[in-house]
Amino acid sequence: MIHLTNIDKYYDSKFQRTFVLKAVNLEVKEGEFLSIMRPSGSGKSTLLNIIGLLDEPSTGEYSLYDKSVLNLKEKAKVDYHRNFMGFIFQAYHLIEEMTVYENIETPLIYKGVKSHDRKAMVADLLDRFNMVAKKDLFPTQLSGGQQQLVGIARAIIGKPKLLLADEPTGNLQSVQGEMIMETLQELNKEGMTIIQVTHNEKFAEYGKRIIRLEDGIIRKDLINQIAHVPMIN
Amino acid sequence: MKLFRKLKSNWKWLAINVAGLSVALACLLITFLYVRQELSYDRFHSKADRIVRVTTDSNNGATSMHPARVAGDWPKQLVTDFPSIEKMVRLVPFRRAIIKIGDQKFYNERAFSTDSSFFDVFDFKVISGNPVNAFAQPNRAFISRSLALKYFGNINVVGKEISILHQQVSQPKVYVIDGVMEDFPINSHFHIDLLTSFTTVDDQTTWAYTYFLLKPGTDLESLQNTIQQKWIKENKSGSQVSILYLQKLTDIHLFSHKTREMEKNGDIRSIILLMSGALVILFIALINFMNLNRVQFISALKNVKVKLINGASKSTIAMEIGTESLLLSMMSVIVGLLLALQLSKSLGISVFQPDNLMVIALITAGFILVISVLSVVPLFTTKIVSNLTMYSPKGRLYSFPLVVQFALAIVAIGCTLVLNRQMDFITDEHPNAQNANMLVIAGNPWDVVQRYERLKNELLKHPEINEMTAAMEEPGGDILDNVGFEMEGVDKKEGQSINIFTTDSNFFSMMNIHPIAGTTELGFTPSQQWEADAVELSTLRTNGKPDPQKQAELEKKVGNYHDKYILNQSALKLLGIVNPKDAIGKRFRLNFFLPDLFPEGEIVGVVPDFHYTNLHNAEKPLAIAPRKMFNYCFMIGIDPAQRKKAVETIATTWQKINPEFPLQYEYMTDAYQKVYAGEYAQSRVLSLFAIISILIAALGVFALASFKIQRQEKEIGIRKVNGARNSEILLMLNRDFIKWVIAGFIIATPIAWYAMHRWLESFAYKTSLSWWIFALAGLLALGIALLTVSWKSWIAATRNPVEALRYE
Repeated sequence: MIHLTNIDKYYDSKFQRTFVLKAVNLEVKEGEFLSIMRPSGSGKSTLLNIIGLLDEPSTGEYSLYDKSVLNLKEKAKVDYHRNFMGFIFQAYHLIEEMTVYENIETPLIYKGVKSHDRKAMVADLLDRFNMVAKKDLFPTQLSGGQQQLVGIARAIIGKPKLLLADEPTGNLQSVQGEMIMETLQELNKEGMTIIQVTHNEKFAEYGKRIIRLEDGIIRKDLINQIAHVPMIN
Repeated sequence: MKLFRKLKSNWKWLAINVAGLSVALACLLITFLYVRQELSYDRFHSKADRIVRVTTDSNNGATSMHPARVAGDWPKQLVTDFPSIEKMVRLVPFRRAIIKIGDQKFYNERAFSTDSSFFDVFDFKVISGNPVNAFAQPNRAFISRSLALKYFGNINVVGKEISILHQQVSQPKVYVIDGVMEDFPINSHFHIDLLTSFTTVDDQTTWAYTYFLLKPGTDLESLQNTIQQKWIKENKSGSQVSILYLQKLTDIHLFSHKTREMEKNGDIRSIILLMSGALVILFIALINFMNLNRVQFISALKNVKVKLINGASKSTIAMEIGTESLLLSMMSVIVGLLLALQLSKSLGISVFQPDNLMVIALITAGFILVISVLSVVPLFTTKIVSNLTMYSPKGRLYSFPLVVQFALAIVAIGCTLVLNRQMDFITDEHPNAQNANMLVIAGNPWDVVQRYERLKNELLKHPEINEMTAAMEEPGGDILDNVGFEMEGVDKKEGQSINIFTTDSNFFSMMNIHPIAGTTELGFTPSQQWEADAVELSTLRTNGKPDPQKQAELEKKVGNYHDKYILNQSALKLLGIVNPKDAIGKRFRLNFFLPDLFPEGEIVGVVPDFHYTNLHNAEKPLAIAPRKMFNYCFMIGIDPAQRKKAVETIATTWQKINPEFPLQYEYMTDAYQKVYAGEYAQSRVLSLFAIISILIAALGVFALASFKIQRQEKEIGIRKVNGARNSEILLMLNRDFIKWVIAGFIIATPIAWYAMHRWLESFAYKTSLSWWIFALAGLLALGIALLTVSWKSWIAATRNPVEALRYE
């Protein structure tokens, strides 16, 4: 599904060129659950941004379903964001003036889904995440784990094929982190392709495949043998 | 719901925005409608573009006059000589005529005689009676609706009678009412309540406001030139030929400031000034809005990014922001309209009329549109790095708009200071202008003037009346009459003339005018009896029926008075005399048409240009002689401790001596204020505008300062932890604002200087544009900005730094 070939990302300053990503080659198949591990500052967010069409590589090729997605027009990008991919963040990034319900509903509005259908879809998800009672609360009234659940709900409500997660458990205690990771794993089982960035070994293990990024270069790429075995810790 | 919550969390910003925008909108609406009205003067006449007013400039140097009306029968001649002039209308004011309807007697300044072409040329509405051939017969009249209602109680008055007692005519003339006119619209440069036909040929050759209706397609300038050339060719007298002016009807209200205008006209300069004032306020408010909007946008930038990532396009977000702004603009419009309504009431400008609704709708629609367009500006100007790492950008304030805002505010303050200074200057220049204990009875009828001595003697018997004097003109009026003269030591020049001004002998002492040479103490001066004898003698000499005995008798009575003249400084300039002392004792003679009334005499005193008349025009060269028969204006000094009693005394004494004339008086201060009513109104409105613009600007600065400080909270904490003093923090926070005010000051000063330089051009005497006025304006703006900012800065600077740092 995702094809990255020789992706470089660098910034030029007066005297030197700083590489954030260097010669990254990556293929992600449909249905994969990929964990990108990294020490701080190794360009994992940049990689995720490039995959999520929020940033462009300096050189290299990027295609989705064998179609190049570099230099896309604004409109095409918006289309991908609406129909193809969803995002979740370390800091949840919920809109604080909106209730849980409204936050989850947001992407559907932009997609142009009718109000009646939106209600049904949001209700389904709330039900699935056991948050029906919390639908009229504001993000600040929720725990971190619950906020991230809302974030996930918002990311998947549009039924995207690809879910991009930037340190989804970074701000959470481990119990809540596990709950989030299990949710992601479940979504993956249902067929959603997931790419997550994390520096937590334990949570990386939830992925079917783990790559390690160091200084912008992929150092290790291994298929996780125990991906489907629940962690015992 | 979402919107409501958003409002709730942002109500402070919203309130500040609504306050600024609604006030600006109100000012804009009021000004715009007022200006629209001013520009519409006389355009309602269907032939407006073909109507011109005829005036002449007498073209004789310093004593030139250019009144709004003309005298003589030459305009009639022009109509016959030049076929491109289709019709002529003359309007002769009754001035102080007494109008009698039934038992009611009153003055009406809005009474005129006119030609039968009046309704052909002008389109005033007639509600009863027939306008065709109106005024073709003598002793016919049309009256206005309000006059009919006031004195008859209804408008069915056709066929009823009205009598008018003219000055200098003993028997009242009776007119039959032929019709009723609708009250003239506000935007007419004259308003008439009573219009009569001419009854004698004499009526038609006196001073008349004279209008021509030209044939379509007439070239005004070439017609004017042709007539002028003809006049020059036919001139045989050797004196200067008057200059003819054909003034477009539609130019009169805003561009005409001649002497003896029918009503006080508007002024294009004040229109420009007002419009600029309103635009300044609008700009300040819009800049405020832009700044506050950007600040809010930056605070909410995270949400925008989240929405973008969740599939919103920039245009959908622009729509969202634009829609949200509707709420703000709607609220501003509602509050603004209410304010405008209130303001228009208290300013006495009737602006909310049906035909204005369209304009109001257009302005408000434009306003709403501008607000919504401006509201999305930050979305497209801020570089939104749609990045998963959500750091908030170091949102700097727009410094340029702030500088412009300060500049505008400083211009507003500067202009207001100059304006008020000029008005103070004017008031101070006029003699006795601040005297609250002087009553003015102006424009007295001939009969009353001839009883001046009796009135004065009677009044001075009362202790509450301190003094009384009289002069040819009222304070702030125009001195127009000029006559030829001869003076010892001054070469005679062809057509040389000087303006004549008569006063009672105590005029100068009462007005506190001190001589710069010689004296203003005149000693013996002629009585009214002497004047009457002198007039009789001169008439006797010239009427061709000699009566030697009577003549000798009168000569004996009149002959031994040696006249005493006082000159003003402008007169010295005209005469070419440098040292005022050189004029004293010189023989002087006015060539008046009644020679015995102004016998030869000598110059006894020289006074400064004392600015009894208005200061729009340069002081005229005056020869002042003590006479009483032309002094149409009385001035009475009263005892301030017995003001009420004094006024009563004047009223009863007046009633005794002048029973047939109503008493109309005003205070000296009001007499002058009346002359500058337009300027006073201007300076009041502009002061108000300046205050508003400062307040709006301050409001915006306050909001921005709070935002800036909020963003710098951590920095302040770190600096304080590292030993910065409160004062240093204060300086750090205020420095930017000081820079902006200074930049604004640099931009503002030349603009304000130029604007005021132009405005002052309408005055012959003007205050100086000193540098300190603008410095003061700058300092005021700086002070206000600093006070506003410091309030917030001080709280931030004195906070415990731990509080700011704890949450990081």
